[in-house]
Amino acid sequence: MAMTRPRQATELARMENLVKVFRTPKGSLVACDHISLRLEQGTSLGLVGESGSGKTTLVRILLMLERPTSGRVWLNGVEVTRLSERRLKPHRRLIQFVAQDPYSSLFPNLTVGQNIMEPLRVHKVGRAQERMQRAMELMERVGLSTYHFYAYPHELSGGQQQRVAIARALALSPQAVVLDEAVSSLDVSVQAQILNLLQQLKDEMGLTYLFISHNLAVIRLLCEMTAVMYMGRIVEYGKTDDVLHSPSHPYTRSLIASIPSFTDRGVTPLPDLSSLAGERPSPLRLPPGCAYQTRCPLVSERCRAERPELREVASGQCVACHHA
Amino acid sequence: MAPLLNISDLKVTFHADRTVVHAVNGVDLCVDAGRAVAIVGESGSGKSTVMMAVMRLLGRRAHVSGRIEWDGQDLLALPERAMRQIRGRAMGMIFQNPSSYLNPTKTIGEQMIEPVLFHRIASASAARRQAVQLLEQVGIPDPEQRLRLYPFELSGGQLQRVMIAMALMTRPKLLIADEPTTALDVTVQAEVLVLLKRLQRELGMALVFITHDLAVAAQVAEEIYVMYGGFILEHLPAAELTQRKAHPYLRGLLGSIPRLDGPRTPLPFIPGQPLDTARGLPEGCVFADRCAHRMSRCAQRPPMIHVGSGHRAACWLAEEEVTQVWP
Repeated sequence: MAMTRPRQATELARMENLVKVFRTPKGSLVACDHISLRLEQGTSLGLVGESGSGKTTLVRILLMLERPTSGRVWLNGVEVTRLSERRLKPHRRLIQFVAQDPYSSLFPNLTVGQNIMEPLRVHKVGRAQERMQRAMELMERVGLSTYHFYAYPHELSGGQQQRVAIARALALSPQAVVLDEAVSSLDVSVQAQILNLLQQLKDEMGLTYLFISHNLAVIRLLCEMTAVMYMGRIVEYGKTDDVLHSPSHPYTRSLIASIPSFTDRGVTPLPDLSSLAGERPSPLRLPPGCAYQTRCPLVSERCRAERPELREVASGQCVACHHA
Repeated sequence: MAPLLNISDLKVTFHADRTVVHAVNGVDLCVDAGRAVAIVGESGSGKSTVMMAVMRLLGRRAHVSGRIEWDGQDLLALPERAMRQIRGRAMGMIFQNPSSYLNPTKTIGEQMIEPVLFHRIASASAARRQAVQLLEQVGIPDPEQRLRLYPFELSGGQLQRVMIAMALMTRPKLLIADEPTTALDVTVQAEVLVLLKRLQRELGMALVFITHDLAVAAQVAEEIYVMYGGFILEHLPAAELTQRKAHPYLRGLLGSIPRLDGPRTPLPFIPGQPLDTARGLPEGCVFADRCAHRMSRCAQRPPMIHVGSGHRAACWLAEEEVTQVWP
């Protein structure tokens, strides 16, 4: 399978058989259910799925903010799953993070400059003068006037705040940046500017993105590969164009049909209700077999009994569905 | 036939310590009975404020002027007691975040029945039967049992359905929906939109749909009003949105939305920042400082200019046959 090929020189991160179980008073919640995924240098990955599908947990494990219940994580060929916090620290520089809401992810009591310099300070990079210079360079790089260096985040607009968050994520020259719905809270006219910036930074700096979004049109702009998650499992994975234009999993199909979007012929029509029927199962009591069986138009006996494994159905396109 | 809701020259300003926020600056908007109308705009464009003014839910800090005619009555002149007979009865409302509008200490059932009892429309038992029926209509399985649940026991999508059912309890003539699907997942959003659209048609109810998402507006509404800086810049039939849009702002907005079938080149975007209505209004066109087609005439504020049937735009370019100017 494409995702678990032996490590190559270009591999940035690899997750193998990740399981994350949260114990709750009402039972165990399996947030990530045997997930294997590779992130390769220069190949950005989009992660789609509805809320509660485990996207954020997966990313938190990749960022080593959360330890998996089982399974392993490699960063640049080094297994980091069981490393101590002290030994983990140098690895943390390699992957940085940009959150959805720029304002709450910036320190409100630090100036723009201090916010951008904070990772440099934490990782003890350079002297004060050098850090300042670096922060100024980064501000220019992300399209912020250095005039805002001494401003506080609340004095900036949402788009400018997101530029600060991006500059801060780039401060340590990471290989990869995880963007969690990083443009979702911005107005469309501003969103386009940030998307262009992200595209430009990716090309110029050779960055690799792991982009979480519910907006497939946005993922299409930035990511070569796309993984679709449902109830803690990856149900489809492949080249973004293949996933978008010939989706193989019924869930991916309903997801794409649900996106309101403009095409040459106008707006996409509202989907047929029958394709949206069915209730979502409680993540605490997933049915045996396929997790999508309660909503799937193709459901059969086999789906209720046997859990579909992710398998390659076309070159590079993997689907977890008995009917694909 | 007179329209159900007719807003003319609506102005809303908020007075804070030293600043005056010009949230709505002369809006004309008209909703016919049974019509679905969308108000589209970015944050701070005044789209919610317009409908909050209609419901008379703006606080004392708000100065409202103009005229809001509802079924022949002047709403702004109505005493609060009479307004309460309309609000929540003939005019229903649903919001973006249902969990913050529902009372966490009361069951779904108690809250659904409340408006019916308040307006003395029916008895408690009849209201209960209606609640069960409506929950079924909005696609909530096992409604009798769900009535006994508290809001926290339902998911976001289900709560929004409950909100819709609740707003429909009094058989409103108009439903105001303020970003009702923004917090929902795309698949759930699609379900709620399909549901809203179906109920609107079946019940012959008018709908004012407030959203920042142009694609959603085009899916749900028959007419679209585009707001910017407290002004309406364009009013057009939804079917003409992609082909006949006239205002440079609307053109810019539509161009900056990434598409599933578009090229992967950098997106065109509108330079600059949205107008800050707390900093006073420009003399001329509110969009001029971000507009690529700005001319000397824009120093004077353009009125709404007729572009076509049911289609008007507040732009001087509209005067010169827009289709000629644009490729």
